[in-house]
Amino acid sequence: MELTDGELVDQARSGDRDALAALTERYQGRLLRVLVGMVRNPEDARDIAQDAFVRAFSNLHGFKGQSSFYTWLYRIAVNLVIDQQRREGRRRNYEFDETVPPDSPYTVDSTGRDPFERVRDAELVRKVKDAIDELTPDHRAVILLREVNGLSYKEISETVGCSMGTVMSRLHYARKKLHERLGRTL
Amino acid sequence: MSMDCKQLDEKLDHYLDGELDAAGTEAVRLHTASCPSCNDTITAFQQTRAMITTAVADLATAVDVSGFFEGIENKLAEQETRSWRFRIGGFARAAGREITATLGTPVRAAVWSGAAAAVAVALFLAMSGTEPQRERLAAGDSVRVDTLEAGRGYSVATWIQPRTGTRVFWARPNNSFEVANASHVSGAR
Repeated sequence: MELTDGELVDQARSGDRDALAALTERYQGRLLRVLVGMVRNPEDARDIAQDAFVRAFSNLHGFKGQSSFYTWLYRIAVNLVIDQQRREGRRRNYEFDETVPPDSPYTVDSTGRDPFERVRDAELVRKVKDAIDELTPDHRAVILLREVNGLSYKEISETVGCSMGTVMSRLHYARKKLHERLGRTL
Repeated sequence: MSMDCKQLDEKLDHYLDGELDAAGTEAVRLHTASCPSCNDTITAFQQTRAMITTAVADLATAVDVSGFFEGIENKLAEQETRSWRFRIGGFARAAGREITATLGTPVRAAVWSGAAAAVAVALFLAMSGTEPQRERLAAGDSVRVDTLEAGRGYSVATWIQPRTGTRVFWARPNNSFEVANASHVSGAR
């Protein structure tokens, strides 16, 4: 039977390596999806995700279980990103085409998709990434936690440390902005 | 319950997020069935959501997750080492400052700082001796354990002689020339 987060956290507190590995395995994928959406760079996302796990595991004694483990972990990670981006004062812009091997429309496609369709899809993905990047870190965090990870308003409010009203307001604003930016693409 | 376009706009986020109750959801469904504009709006927002999910999934595929947990373990180990070095170094430096205030000369204070660091190292060893270290001791190896920056130009090295059980703490200047100068300057004062 699969252990609950609480049971794994208890075991991890007593230094159980397998429990740490299990918690990592359980949440690394979801955490990376949010982080890569926020920082737009796969290597940075990986580094920040690892740092978030390190902070969480180093402070397990301080985890009271008032929120779920993953909400707590997300909070650490999102705060790491937001702090970093605020310190920088501006968002870093990465050239994704150089670092991310895309589904290039110029290579042979084994699925036999129409090359024009593939060009259009790649362009669409790029536009979405740009639109997300134009949001502030706070708005980006909220929209990604909701749309990508499916967190509830309450979980998002615990993760980013603001009221549910603020979460709803930020979600509404972010959606409107994305819709304005991408509406013409649809 | 009927709903107009303005009411739907107010409830749009709740509807998209599945946070509306059954009656609210039904009201949206009834309204959009007879209002192409609102229906298009909802469809557009749902498509935007799908695009976001696709774009992020596309990015996520580029993240290399091989050795992810091992990387976490390494960072935890580095953090633990830094933590001990920080504590020991801090203890030695603090002791050095106290002694400087008492004795007044930097060189003598540095020697005392080294001694303080040696005590800290001994405590560290007592608290954190690992199984491999014990095994090596039993085999009669001579083990060099650590070298610490004690501050004021001095380092403290620690060796263990397993056969006799002797522990040697050796405080030495990082740079003899600088220490000689320091001694000279100190003497001149």
